[in-house]
Amino acid sequence: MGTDGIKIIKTNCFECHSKCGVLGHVKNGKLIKIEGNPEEPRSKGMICSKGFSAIQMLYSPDRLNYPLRRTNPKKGPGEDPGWKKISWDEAIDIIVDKILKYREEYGPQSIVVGQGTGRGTNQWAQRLGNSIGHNHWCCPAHVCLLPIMMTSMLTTGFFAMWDSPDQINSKCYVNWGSNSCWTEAGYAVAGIREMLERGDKIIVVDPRYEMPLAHKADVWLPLRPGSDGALALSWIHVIISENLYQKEFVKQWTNGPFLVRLDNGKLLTEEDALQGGDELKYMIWDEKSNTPKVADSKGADPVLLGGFTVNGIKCKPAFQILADQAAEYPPEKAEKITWVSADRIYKAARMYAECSPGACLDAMQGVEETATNTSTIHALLILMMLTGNLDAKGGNLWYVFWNEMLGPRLVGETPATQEKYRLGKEQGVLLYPVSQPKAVWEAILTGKPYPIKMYINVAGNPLSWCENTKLTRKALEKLEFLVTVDYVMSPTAELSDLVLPSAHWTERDYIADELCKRWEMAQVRCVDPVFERHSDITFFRTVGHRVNPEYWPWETDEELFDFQLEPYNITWEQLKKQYIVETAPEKYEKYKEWGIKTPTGKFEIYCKIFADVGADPIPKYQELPQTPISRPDLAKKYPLILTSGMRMPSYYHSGMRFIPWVRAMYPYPVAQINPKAAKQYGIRQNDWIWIETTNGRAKHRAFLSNGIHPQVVGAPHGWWSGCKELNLPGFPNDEANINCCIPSEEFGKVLGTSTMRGLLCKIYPVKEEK
Amino acid sequence: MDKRYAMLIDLDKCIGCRACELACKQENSVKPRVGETCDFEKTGVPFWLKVYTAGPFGEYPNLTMHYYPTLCMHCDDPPCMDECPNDAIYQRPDGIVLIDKGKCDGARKCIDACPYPGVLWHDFDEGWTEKCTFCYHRLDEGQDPACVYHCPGKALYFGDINDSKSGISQRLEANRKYLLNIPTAPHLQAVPSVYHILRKRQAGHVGVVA
Repeated sequence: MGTDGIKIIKTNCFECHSKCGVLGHVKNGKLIKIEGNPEEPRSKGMICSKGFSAIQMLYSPDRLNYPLRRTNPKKGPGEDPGWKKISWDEAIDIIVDKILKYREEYGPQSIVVGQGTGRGTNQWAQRLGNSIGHNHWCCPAHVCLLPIMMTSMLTTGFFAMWDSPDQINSKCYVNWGSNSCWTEAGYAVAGIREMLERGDKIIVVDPRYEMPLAHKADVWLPLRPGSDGALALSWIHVIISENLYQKEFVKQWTNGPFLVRLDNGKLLTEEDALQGGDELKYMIWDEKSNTPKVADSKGADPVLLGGFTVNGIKCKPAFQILADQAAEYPPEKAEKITWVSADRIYKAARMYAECSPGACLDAMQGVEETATNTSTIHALLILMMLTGNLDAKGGNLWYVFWNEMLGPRLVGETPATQEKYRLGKEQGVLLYPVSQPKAVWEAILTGKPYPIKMYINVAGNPLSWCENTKLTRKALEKLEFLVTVDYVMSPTAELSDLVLPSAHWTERDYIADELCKRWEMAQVRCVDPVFERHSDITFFRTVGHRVNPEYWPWETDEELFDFQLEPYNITWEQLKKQYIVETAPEKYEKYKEWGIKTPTGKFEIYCKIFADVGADPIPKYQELPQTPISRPDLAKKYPLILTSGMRMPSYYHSGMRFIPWVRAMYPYPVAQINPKAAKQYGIRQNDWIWIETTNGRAKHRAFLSNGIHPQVVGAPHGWWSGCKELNLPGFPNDEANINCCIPSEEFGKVLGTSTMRGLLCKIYPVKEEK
Repeated sequence: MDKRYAMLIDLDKCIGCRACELACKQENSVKPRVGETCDFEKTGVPFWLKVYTAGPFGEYPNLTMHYYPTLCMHCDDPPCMDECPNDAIYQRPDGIVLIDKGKCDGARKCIDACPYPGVLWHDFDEGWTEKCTFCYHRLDEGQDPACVYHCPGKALYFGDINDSKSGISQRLEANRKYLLNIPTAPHLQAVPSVYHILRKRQAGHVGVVA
């Protein structure tokens, strides 16, 4: 405590996942100021506009303060829920009673636990599901996080994306479909600013020029939204055909040399090659002896290119098949598909390879939110493999928390019936391990394949995050019992039967873990929670403890934190005192010591698990369901291409529009359109326009910019809330909700993802309605 | 020699995240306002510091652009000071230009007199005009201004330009040829103490604020 009566609390922000280190200034029990904490090793003292809004968030009159129970059973627009204030304990009693009743009557699969992007509690939301008896985890993970995380885990054994780029030690930074400078500055900017200072190479792949780095880039690749896969294969082609890849790395650490059978596309095993061979051993072709050998045979020198016959079976190394598939997209051809000029493709691919090892690649939702995401992401991971950048200094690093986060220790044992009741399976979703949201809504509406009765929604607003809002709304209006735990009365909360007030990060204790690279930090509260707000952790733990104490033995949040911290030999009390703990030493190429945690024990150019489920084991490019190329007929009616989810630095998804400081920065949902398109469609600057697709429409204000292709429309997501203090409107009935435009029928088979970036649309002015 | 405080803004490092705007608002309790609740023609822009986007210029995909933070330039011989009918504006020996809110009666002559865009704003509720103070209260305690301290891109540099050994002086010297010429009314001797540098300077870039 200073002489001025100000107490400084060392903690971490949670206005987004980045969790930058901050210092909360508290006077007389009131939070008066947030500053960056220069001691925090990732963010180094910076915070963003979201973090600065913490005080207004904590004390906002729009926040929920007490549990509320609906008294009017009718749900929908125009219906007054008739909220009745109840106590926290009463609310928990109701929830537990409902869980036990529905579990008894309809089975545990009738109860869904869900979230939005959430507030750092992925593991606990899933644990609650598992402890009830089925883990639906209904959330936007199919469009955000799991595409990059699962594809990376399956093919590299670690999470080589999101916070993995080692910008601070890098010579070249590839910013591909990601706006980390604005959205999650904490893990990115401290490194990027050093790169800018040093004059290192920057490559940006993004359809929009008005994002923070395109104008600073050495090469900007302005691609057609959704054509990323063709572009990535074109890079691979340049790197292979110009011999720019790290040959020894590819031979030793990837399964590029593994022979693939041309008759069935499977990996050639020792069993295939000789009688009595091992079905789990894979074969390579040895250059020295010119014979097939088991991979990693001593003294063997595996070939990467060529075609061979083993035991009468024709095969090729996986690397050769990759080279063949990439050769279908030379830059001159890719230019026609992606709209990026061939010379820019050559320049970028060569630049990345020539700076390697020591070049890092940062790809996020631009590549995730399409039906073909896994192929694109796999291709990007292969770029890291070809260039030896996986866990290399300056490349993409292995941080261990990600392996832990969704593992059974934190998430709890998954019941044996998980696969049986996995929603989406019957619709053909192959590998998404939890329920596809669309399939959850359909089950609510039809009772098939089994009835869904209850949905516990913590830190989430499905009416904003989920594609095809009409379907989501219909399902939530019909659902028997909806619980929402959140900061404010969101559109989803309005449809709920029970609403609980969630404590803000400044008034809750938690552990800063995901995205914290090789550290975990004590995210201690600055002030005690006011009113009847409780932390989401407390919610999960208390409900869980009563439903299944075997999964939730902890009497207090502190005991739960101690459990999470066990691997790092530290207790919550100690962590609070020392603020930060290292979860791994600063070390590169850890796979050499720890092994590569994939089915083939190598970084997988050929993804064994994709092959096993019938997906492409080596990336191929496929046009998205709705593009001028795949649907020229539809393009006559919808001539433009929509890319949604355009980020602003001051908003975290659908939150924060009610905070005056940040709303004053970006007061309206604006759609970016090129002046040429505006002229063609009779639209002037700041006009309200409709963006319409085959699925529906959403209202935005036109922002004319040369920074976008005349055939592309860029639109943000998450707009619903008004701001009373600034007298700025909200957008009821999903009228500015871009997810109304996103169809959910044509999803990707591997992870069930819908296309949110790269679908056909049209625009027209909103007519004055009298 | 007296201190002369100045700011150098490296536009090659500004990532347009606008964190500085809110660092400023929190530090100085600047009220949030938007166009619908105030008339910018009369009030000026309700930010003490605001990041504009210059561009994009050109035809897609051959474009240029940069971000452009603006704030009070703390000029030598500031025209706003001369024009204030109430002598409410004064300059400290270290160059910081301040408004004495007690003396300000809302004549708003300063807003017209200032040759730079988006620097002053008038709060009709309070009846005074306000602007950036270079966070003199923090300087007096040995801290950098809030925007400089918090800039994620470390694009803002602050210090004493009368001290040739200071970080800002050296950076300014090393980058003098990259200084942006900001168009000002030539008859005004408004020599700014806020410098913008842009190494990736290209035709059409200079001083254009969108």
